Amino acid sequence: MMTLSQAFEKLRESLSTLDEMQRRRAVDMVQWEYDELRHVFALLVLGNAVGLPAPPAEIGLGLLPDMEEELLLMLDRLELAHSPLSKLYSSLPVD
Amino acid sequence: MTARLVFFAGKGGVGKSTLAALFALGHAERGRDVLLLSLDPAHNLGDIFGQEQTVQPAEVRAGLQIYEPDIQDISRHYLRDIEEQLRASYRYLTSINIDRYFSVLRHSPGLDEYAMSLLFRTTISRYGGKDIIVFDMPPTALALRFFAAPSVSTIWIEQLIALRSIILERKEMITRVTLASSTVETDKILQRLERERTLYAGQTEALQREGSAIHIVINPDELSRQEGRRIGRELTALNLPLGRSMLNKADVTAGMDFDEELPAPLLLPRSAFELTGIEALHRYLEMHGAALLAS
Repeated sequence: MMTLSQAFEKLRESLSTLDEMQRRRAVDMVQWEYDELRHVFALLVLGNAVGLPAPPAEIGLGLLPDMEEELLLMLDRLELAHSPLSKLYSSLPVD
Repeated sequence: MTARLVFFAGKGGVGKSTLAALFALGHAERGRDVLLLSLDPAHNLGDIFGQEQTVQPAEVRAGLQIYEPDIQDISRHYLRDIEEQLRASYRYLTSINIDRYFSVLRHSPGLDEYAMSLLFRTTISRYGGKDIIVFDMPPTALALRFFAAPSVSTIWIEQLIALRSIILERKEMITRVTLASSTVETDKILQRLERERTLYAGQTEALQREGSAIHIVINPDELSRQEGRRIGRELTALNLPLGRSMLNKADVTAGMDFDEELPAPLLLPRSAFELTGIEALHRYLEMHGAALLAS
């Protein structure tokens, strides 16, 4: 038989999980926007790698050492190139 | 005390280096402390003063140093520095073929003017205590890219800072909601962009500093005049201080037609003797130097 304190603890854990789930759901869209913005940033800075107009070379070169995450994000996007809508559909509330 | 910056720009072969040398020597002879610097990758200041190329500032007479740095070498140093930072930062260097990507950038056409910008910043900070720093500029295309670099790069930097700020705002929002914390670590990319913006702003301020001037050297031929007009238009659009147009190798008996597209002209007659060596330059200055030194 569960004691009152154990019951409270279970309830607290459930609420905590629920809170975390709600927080994650609340930032899903922002997270998606955040990734896209970083992708756009990487494209603007390193666009010359894929044939886009690029900023003066020193800007891209100067930022390159700190752009590991952005570069990996770009490579990740290349893998999605053949199904560009799948990511969008998985993030947006589309039935 | 901040040095007055004087530039000599114009078409290749019009005599920029000679006029810059005359101007620098004339002021040194009048007791000023002058640095004459060549930003032209094809230097000839050493030839004019009868010296070997001076990759470090070298005194040619009291109050006058000449300096012919290797622009390509500055580019190479800069790229080597970036390469070292890349190797330190990237763990996936070989798998994503950064080496190849990097070697493509090595041939980027923008690096010469950036090397010039780096050199310009170092020079005005290291030799800012001089009375005058005279710049012998490369031919028009590269010179204009150098003059335009701060405004072109600043446009990009401003846009990237704006975008980066939005990215960091979103990141902070996510951190606040998911971790119930508003602590966002310092963003190195934003810091680099802001630092570069400050450096370019300093470069523009120096170019626009009171007493600074960009003189346009032309010859008595239509091609160099056309190019001179183009330089004038570009500098005006960039809001940079236009000096005089200097008609070098002029036939003084023919005078110079008024050209409303060029700044107030100054006639410098063709020399009857070879303008190499301090003695010859000094002789020319005694005959025709007054107006040049007043500009």
